[in-house]
Amino acid sequence: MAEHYKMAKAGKGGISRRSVLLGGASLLAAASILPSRAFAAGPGTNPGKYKIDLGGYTGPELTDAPITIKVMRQEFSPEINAPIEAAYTAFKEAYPNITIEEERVPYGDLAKKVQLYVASGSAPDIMMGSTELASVYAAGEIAVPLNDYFSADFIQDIYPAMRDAATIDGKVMCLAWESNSCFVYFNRDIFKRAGVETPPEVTDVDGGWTADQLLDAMRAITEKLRKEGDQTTFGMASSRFGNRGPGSNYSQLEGMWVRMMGDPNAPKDSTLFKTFAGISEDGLTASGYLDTPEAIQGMKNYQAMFNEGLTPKGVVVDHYKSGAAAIDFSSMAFANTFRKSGAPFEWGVSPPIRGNIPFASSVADAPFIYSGSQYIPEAAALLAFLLNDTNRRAFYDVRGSMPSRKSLTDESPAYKTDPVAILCANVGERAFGSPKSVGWLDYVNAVNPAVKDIALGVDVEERLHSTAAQIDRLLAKYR
Amino acid sequence: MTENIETNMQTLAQPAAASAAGEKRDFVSWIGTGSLLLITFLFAFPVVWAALTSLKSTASVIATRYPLSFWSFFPPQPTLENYASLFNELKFGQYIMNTAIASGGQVALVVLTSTLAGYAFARLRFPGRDLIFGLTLLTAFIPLEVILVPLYQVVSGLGLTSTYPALFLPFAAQPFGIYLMRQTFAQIPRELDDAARVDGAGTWRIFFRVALPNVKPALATLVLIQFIWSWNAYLWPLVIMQDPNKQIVQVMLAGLKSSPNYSLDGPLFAGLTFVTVPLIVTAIVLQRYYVRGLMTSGIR
Repeated sequence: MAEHYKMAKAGKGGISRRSVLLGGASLLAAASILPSRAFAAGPGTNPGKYKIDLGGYTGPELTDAPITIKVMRQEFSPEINAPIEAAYTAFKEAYPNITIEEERVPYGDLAKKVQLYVASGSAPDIMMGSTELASVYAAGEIAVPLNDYFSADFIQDIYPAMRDAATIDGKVMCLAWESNSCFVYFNRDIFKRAGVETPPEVTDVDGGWTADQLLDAMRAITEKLRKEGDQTTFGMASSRFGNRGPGSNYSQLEGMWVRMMGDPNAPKDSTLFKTFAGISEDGLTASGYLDTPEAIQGMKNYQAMFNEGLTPKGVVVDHYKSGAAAIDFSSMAFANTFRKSGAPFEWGVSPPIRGNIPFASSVADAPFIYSGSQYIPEAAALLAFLLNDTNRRAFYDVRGSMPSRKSLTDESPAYKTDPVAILCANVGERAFGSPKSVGWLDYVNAVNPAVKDIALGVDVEERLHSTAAQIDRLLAKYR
Repeated sequence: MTENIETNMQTLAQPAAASAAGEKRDFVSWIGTGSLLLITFLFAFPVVWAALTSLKSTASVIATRYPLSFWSFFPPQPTLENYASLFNELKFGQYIMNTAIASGGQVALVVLTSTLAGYAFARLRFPGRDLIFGLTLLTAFIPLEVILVPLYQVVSGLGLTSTYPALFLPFAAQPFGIYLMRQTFAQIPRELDDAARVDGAGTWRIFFRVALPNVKPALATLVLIQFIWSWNAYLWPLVIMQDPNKQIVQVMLAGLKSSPNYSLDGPLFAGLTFVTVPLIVTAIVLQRYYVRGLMTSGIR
């Protein structure tokens, strides 16, 4: 003990006054640096700038006056609603002068309500929209461009396909909420029963089946099952999108059969490029885009599934989930449902189907701020708060969907180790938005019935030509 | 002699003919009964199927839905967990209460306006009566969708958004109810009014003491039809009721299917079953009056 004391006094091996001072100074320096390192203001967080972490918000400090912000979004199940409600509570604690009124509507009625509110001139400050309608929001000046209220880093952090889909003339009209880009799910048990090789289980988007390979596999499966006397199991599941069945959702599902036959990198005057584009650059002409030879071939492939009895012409609810269909298209949803509740069969995933390109849609639910709002900065701040890292993580944890921002998938271990998550992120990275047109609703309202007719057996070429002409007529009012 | 033989033969033939006619009647009756049973089955099937499905877990609903089998309709292991979840986690009782308030308010208001207007159109004489009545009937042909935006603007402008009165005030006057009551009041003999007037009764007294007691079946019909209509309303409550805590049960149930990948099929079927109960009970209670009401009002 005495020895130690002597050494310390001599400054050898002990704690000298100088070392104590130096150490203290170092600790102070570290203390001042550490928090900023540990909680660095990434794209989705901005600690210290406002009363609470308003994520990507860069607008002015919020008003002190008592105001009410109205939010309209789709209904979720209680466990998914919970983190959103918790976020409202946290926001209100920081800004007690701001009351939040939330309206939740059934998903299928969202667009109807947005239209009604806008038509009446009295709409909620924040509404849940869709990236595919960004052109409509911009043309009608319905939504506030968000670039003035959100940092460039935050906007840049959104996956390119979803960001580009929401951007019109450099202005971001809405912010993608989550990714729903689809890839192939298959029922391993059915493939095994039919003695057919399963699709490639790779995470590379280019590594999936071609449309021809898919059709051949479904033919083989159907033939084998029918020979066994099984009349109820199908190669491809009945669509569960929109109103279900053929022609239910061209934007997210059936359009892929056409647009995969095109090529975004081909010369702009080529039919390959036009097939991919789906509409002219000004968004007002479908003829020569929707009905190119490649598009006709794509829809013939689609029709073959119905003509040859590879998929039912009607609606079968939960066809794939019930174990009665070999293949379906979905995002992370099935994987999470199966992992949560258990699957009645062995399942696997494969990249999207390829034509000239592998195609998946990047259409995403995306909140926007109503241009008629009296409290645009406050609405932007609330939206930013809902989208900050903490609140998004809480949402994705219970929802199980893929984040729309790259920094959130990058930080998640699942997106480094889980093949389904990795494939999902890769697909999200390479997905494509809907053709941009102020008349996009007219477009899909015309093309969905055409897809249904094609499924039921009409002449593909004739139907696509007449549909394209019909869309041209519908879009003429926007010229 | 010959006549007697013919008479005897006719007498003998009569029971045979009567028997043949009886058999024909039986056959027709059997066909009629069979058809009615078939139609009843077709109408009752969705309700019974929903009720049976509500006793399955969500996983079981999905697993047994396709291909169709016995287990698509009958629960392998009946459970009440969907009902428990509906009331405990999804606050179903609150939505039922909201719907009951909306429906109760609407039925009360419609009965009030329909009886008053129907009585006025049937029994009182005033200039332009038939024209006003005709215009009133015309409003029955305007779909709600057409007037949705202006109606929303009016109700919103009055500051009634997300209030219970907003659910039923815009529908306080129903052309069908007015027509039904007018037809019914018109059939009451005028001598009753005259007698009451001789006894010193005024218009209001005649309305309450003479006319109303004579139109009970039509009133029951009106209550039943209006209750069914308001209980099943969807579009207007969806639009005007923005506070989730005050939303009605039909919109809430639609919300359960809001996210197809996270469907709550079990609770949904439990909810669908539960919301049909008040309708069935009301129909059973009022069916006797309902038939009489339609018969006497001239609406067939």
